[in-house]
Amino acid sequence: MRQPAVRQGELVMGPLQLAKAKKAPPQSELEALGRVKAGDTQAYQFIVAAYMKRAYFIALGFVHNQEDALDISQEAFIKAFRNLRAFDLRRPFFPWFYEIIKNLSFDNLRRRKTRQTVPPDIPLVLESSEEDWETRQALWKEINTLPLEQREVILLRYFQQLSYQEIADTLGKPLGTIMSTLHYAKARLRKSLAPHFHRQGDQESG
Amino acid sequence: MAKNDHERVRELLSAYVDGELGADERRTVEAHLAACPECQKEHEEMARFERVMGKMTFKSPPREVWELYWVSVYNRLERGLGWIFLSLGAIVLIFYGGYKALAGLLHNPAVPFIIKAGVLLALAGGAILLVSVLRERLFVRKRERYKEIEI
Repeated sequence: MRQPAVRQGELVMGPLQLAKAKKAPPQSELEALGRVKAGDTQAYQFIVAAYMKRAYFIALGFVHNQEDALDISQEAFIKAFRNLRAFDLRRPFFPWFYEIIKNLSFDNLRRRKTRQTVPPDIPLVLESSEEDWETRQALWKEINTLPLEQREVILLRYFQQLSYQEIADTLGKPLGTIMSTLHYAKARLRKSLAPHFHRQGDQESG
Repeated sequence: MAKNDHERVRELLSAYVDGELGADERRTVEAHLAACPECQKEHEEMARFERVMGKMTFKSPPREVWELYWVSVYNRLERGLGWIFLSLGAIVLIFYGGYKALAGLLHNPAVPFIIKAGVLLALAGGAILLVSVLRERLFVRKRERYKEIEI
């Protein structure tokens, strides 16, 4: 197996911590954040490793472009790092971080709109495979016509596999609101899919 | 009672399919499903929808992206710090140089009064413009953030 470029807790030497001795990696998110706040930049690696995939895919869900999603997710970590001093550690980190990613994604879309870039192909965003591919492409298009609050819930539920409670925490909304938003979003998606399902049903029976 | 159950189960079905119901509600739904063909059909369709949605995943980037992710973030952090120091230093130097040049000019008896007055007026105008532009950027932009975008 190939060695990963950077192992957890390993020092990446740079001017910022040449003078610092090696420390044990943080054991929890709270400890890591506390240490970063106290000036230990290296402890931030714990946070980045824990949230990098989620950050990337959340951005991808909004901007539909892999390169931009990577850039936005990394920028979000930098922005969070710079604003951590003002962040209250008694609050959960992820909802705050989610808001940063979302804001950066919208900034990106606004800039892109003025640049008039062509929207990317679906196969560049979605994992493609033979089975149900056509249905999934139709579904993806339909997801992107949903109002933002429904789309957010769908993205968090199906692309981030968050539970209802986690979605409620992330968006700072009551659980009941999430349940009903999800219910309406699903109903609309199912309705749009009905022709696809019928065609498939015919194939299955025929 | 059966009628009530039917309405209630309709509402709960979506959360039932998502595995988000407590034990009591789950039992209610299951008992009703066993007896109601209409809800059974609805349940089947929902389950089918969930199967397709379950297969919706984003394309993953190459593994190297994750391996180099932290180094990349770290480098950007470091570079950002470099830029901040560089800009702060440059601002200090520019203000100092500007102040010295202005003081030299104003104290020089060889420069006519009209030139001194012109320079001071131009600087005052520049300062007002700068403050105005900064204020516009900081306040107007904040308020209108997402007004015109639809994604």
